[in-house]
Amino acid sequence: MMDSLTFLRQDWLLPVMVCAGLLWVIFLWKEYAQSGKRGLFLKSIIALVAVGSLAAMVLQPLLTEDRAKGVGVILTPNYTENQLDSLKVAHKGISEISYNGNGFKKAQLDSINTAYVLGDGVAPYDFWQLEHIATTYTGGDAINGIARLKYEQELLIGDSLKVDGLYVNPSMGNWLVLKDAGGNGMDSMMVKGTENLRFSLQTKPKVAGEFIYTLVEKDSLHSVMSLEPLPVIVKPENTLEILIINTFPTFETKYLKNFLAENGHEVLVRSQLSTNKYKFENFNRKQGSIYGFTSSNLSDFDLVIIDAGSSLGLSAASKEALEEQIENEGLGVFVQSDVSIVSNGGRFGFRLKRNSSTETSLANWPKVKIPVYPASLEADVLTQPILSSQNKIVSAYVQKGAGRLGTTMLNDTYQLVLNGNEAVYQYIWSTTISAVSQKSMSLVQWETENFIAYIDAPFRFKLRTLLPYPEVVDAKDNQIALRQNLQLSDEWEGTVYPRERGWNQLRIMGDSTTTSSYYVVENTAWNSIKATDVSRENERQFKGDIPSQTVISTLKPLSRWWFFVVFALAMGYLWVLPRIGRD
Amino acid sequence: MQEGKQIIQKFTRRWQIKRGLEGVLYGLGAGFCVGLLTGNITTGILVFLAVSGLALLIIRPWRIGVEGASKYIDDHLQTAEYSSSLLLAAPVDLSSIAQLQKQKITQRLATEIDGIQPKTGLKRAAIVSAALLLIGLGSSQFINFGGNSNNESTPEVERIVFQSADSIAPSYIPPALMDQKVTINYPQYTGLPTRTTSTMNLKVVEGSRVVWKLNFEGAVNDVQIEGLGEEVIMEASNSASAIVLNTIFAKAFSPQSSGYYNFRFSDSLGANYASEIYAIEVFKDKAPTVDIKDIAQFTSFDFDDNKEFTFAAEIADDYGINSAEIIATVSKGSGESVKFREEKLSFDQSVQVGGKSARLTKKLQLDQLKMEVGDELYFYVAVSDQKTPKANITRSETYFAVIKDTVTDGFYVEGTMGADLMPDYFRSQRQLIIDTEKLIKDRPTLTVKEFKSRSNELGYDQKALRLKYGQFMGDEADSGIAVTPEISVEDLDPDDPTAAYRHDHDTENEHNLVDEHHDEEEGAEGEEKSPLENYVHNHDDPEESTLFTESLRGKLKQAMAEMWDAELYLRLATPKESLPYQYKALKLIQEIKNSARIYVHRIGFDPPPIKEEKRLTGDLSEIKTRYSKEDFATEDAHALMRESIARLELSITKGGILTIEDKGIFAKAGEELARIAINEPARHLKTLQQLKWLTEEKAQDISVLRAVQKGLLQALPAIKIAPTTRQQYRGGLEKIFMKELQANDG
Repeated sequence: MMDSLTFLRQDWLLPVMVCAGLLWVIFLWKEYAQSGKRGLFLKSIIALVAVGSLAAMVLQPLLTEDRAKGVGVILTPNYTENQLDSLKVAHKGISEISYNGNGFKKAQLDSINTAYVLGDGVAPYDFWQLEHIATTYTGGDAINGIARLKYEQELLIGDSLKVDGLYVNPSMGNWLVLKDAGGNGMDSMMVKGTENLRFSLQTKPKVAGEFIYTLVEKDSLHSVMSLEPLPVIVKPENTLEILIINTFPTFETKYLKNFLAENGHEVLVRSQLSTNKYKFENFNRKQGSIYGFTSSNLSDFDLVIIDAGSSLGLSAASKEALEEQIENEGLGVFVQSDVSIVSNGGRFGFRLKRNSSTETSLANWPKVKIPVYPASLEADVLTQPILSSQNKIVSAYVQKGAGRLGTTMLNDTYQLVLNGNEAVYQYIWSTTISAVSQKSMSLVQWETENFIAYIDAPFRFKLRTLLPYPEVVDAKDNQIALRQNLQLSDEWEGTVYPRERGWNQLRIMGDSTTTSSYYVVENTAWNSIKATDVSRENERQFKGDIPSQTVISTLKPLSRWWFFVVFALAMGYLWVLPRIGRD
Repeated sequence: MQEGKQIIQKFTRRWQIKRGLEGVLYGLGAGFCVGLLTGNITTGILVFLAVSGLALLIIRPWRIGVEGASKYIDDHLQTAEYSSSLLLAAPVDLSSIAQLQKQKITQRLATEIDGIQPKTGLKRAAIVSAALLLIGLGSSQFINFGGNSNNESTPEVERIVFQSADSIAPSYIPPALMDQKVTINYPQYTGLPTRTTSTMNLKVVEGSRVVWKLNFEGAVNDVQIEGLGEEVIMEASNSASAIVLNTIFAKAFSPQSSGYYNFRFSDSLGANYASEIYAIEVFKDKAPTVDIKDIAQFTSFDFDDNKEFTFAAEIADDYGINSAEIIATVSKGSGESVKFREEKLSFDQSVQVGGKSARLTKKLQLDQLKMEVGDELYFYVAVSDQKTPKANITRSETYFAVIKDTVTDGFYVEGTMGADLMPDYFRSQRQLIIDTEKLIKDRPTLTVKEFKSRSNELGYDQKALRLKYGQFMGDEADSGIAVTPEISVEDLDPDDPTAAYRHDHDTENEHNLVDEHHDEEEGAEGEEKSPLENYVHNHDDPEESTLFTESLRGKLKQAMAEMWDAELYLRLATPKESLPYQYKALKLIQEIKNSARIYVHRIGFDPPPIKEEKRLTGDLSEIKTRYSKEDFATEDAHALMRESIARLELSITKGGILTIEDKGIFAKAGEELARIAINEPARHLKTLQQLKWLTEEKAQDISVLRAVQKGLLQALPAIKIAPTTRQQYRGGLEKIFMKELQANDG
């Protein structure tokens, strides 16, 4: 039975009803005026039937009709004819639905309750359309080319760009070449077998900015087979504000401060001359001095380099201020080790293991001997190694709240400079200082689902910020709707549908420092990765276990003839009645 | 109706023309061939005329007469019935039959004459001529006869290409460059001829003068050469032949260093044009090289050797040697009395001035140099080239020749000490040991007397040595460990058992090694006795002597005691017993010598006097907190190149639009790149060129922008590792995580 009456012309319902009612009332009035009350009731009923039929002819009431559903096959790019043929044999009258990434028409899916997806698969953003269909994903031809890719899209100048990936079904003799923005080959690798190949290409960007590196596949004759973009954002180096506290001047500090100052960092060095008498050296910064530590004077610095003696001799207030800054503000502290640390590392928060070595060397420079204190640092959950040599940690930091406390067992590294091993010195101190000083905090953190965005396709991003109600806009100041994570109140999520190729920007309204760039390409770029991802998503999504409706109930308008017959009969009766009544 | 005679005459003319054409064809072939080979049209024409004339002389087409022609017709046309000669005859001479025949033949010939081909070598001539033409064409592709250096026209490849530098290229045809010339005047001394070329990339020797000459088709306002350090404006040099003014521009310039330059001119309507960039490479005249052969660095001769030697010097220079000579220095004597004598010697052969290499020999006779025993000769070869104003001079290494002096082998305490503390001559402890050991070894072969005598002599030497060291101590001969007064020879007891073993002149001061005591006493008041006076602070008391430190004194005393014992046993003719003492003494002396070395270093520091009243008072009032401020210039030598790369990327994504600011930065980046390009011009010249174009007003294609970006990236050196910091995000999750970790770390 009908639960509710629906009409084909549902939108005309009200005007038609009003007209029908009016018609009926006119009829009643006319009848009453002509023939008085006699037989009026019957006439009014008949008239109602007639007017109702007339209205029904206009509105066309719908009836549900149940029909058994069939089997469909969704053909996505890269499907195999063999599979399709087998399915055609197994299911007579199977309906073929081709899919090219732009969704389905409703009618295409109406008639089926079971579907097979052939080929690379249905784009995840179209999954919802197949919600009520028992869908099975059977896959397609094996995907050739780069199936997976991993690289750091955002780098600091000086960092290496390392591109790792998986090359599926490679052709032997082909080359993979990593090219920089100008098209200079930076790194390459030849495919030596036909097995799936894990590759890793590396280069060091020389310039800060937004660039498109490319990953080029060439055949053995060096003609280009494919050229895929790798958007890379290289940020300029940040300068640090460093405070160095020493009880007495040492060569180690002298060379370290020169190294830091030459790299443009702001350095304040305090060396003690006598009781309450200090020597302050300011490099690349305004003239300044610091005596006791307070939260406010420490907040100017990203990193405090302090020798063990000074560290132990800090006043209670200074110590408290220093610890507060480490814990809450992320200040980095590097303790210049001496023998007292080796014997009593626990006082500084390090776990040490004594040994008998007096010199060591780093893996990259095995011939360069570096003097070392006879101990190594022990790693644990909070202690992260910075430099290791011969399976022993020589430099490490301990995470303390937001900040880090680091030290090294290397000793008299300035001798490296004197011996001409400046590269080793630069490596040691660059890595160590960079690892310990992580104070600067970003207001927002952007995460994107994919390294690349496709034109007109949804591009999902996540935003983490401590701002209470962030408003994200694109480059044209169109606001983008965000959804807050229920558990993590600082995590938001949004989707954009980029319309322009090239670099696009997202930022928090009113703050240009929070801009995040993403690169939009044509639908054809990185096909192999896209296909792999889609295929994986399809495998996960479509297991054919959705309880399917076997019957489809469709609505069909009732033929107008029925109403016409009723209308004709009613009108006929009403025409005949006065003639009968006269008799 | 044609006259019969006319027909024959026409045929004859045709024949003559064809034969003539044959000759001309030969001439044409030869003319083209030579013309193409030499690339000179005049030669071609001359050859054509000559060959044609010759061929015509041989063929002689004018000799074909009507008679010959009629005979030829008779031979080749049967229908002529051998009667064509009738046509030539005057009608009056002919019989009526003959006249009939003539008429008949005339009619026939009129129709059939065209069928007869006169005998010519036209086909052969055409083939030969075509072959010659082909040879000429083919060869001219490979061989370039005569060169084009003096050719007025500039090869298309080298021609300076000017492009409009304005944003809107003028609609009219810009003034074209008709001729370009660079004349390089090499410095006179190089002997290189003046070179004129149309190639604008130049390689010149230092000091050369370069003259550019550009000849424009139309009038031009001004022409500049950019990039030569300053803006060089070319001067208009209008010769009388130039009809329009300002068409020929020339400029002379002496480039001092390698670099790049380009031309720029503005036409009479003010539109600007710039050329590509060209390189000038200035290379230095290299210094001559000298290689001395056939002699060791150090040669020594014995007194009785034939003191002469020969050596050879191989010298070479890139532009020519001016002179080569041997500078010899003879040193005579030693110490303060050393005397030097410098002489310039010439080689046995004379040096060919301007020669590029030579092998010269010299026979040196030391006697001729008036060298005596102990004299040393130092010599080296000095070669100078012809470079002006200042010649390059190369000196060879110094070689030594010494006539050995076997007499004066001495030894010195310590070369690095300010004063040579050792006396001029006495036997060293080491020598004493060697002699003692020799004596022990020789004992079986010696007589007892001889043995004892030699032992006693050694004892004496030991004593002399001891006394010498005693002098360093500031000891008087009789102080310290007592030196037993020698018994004077005169006082000798004839029965003295030691007399036989004593040396005749075994006196205390045999060789005047030590000043006589009485001398000392005599001059005690007047003059200084010790040569060490200057180095010694206090001589009054030997114990206060600060020449050696206290421990040194002790050591020296000990050494002297050992020497004393050694002497004792030597005197007792038991050298074997004496040896251990000698060794001990030697060891001690060595130690003293070594500490003397250290002592030299020590006297280098003279600490400021300490104010006694300030010592240990703990007064820190003058120690103050110090402040210093220093800014390190962290200028990146390639900063603008880096910025240009980023700007180019931005510009490429925007479709290649460049702002004025961009152009300013590109211009400066060009300067940075030029510094790199000087060392590797081949690699970076194109980029530099394109970068230059980007700074001009004319819009450039995106492909140029890309090429520049690529080139700049290539030119940039790798980035050095440096400490830096990364921005991090610390949200609620991280805080909770760290808190939990720390709590559980406990």
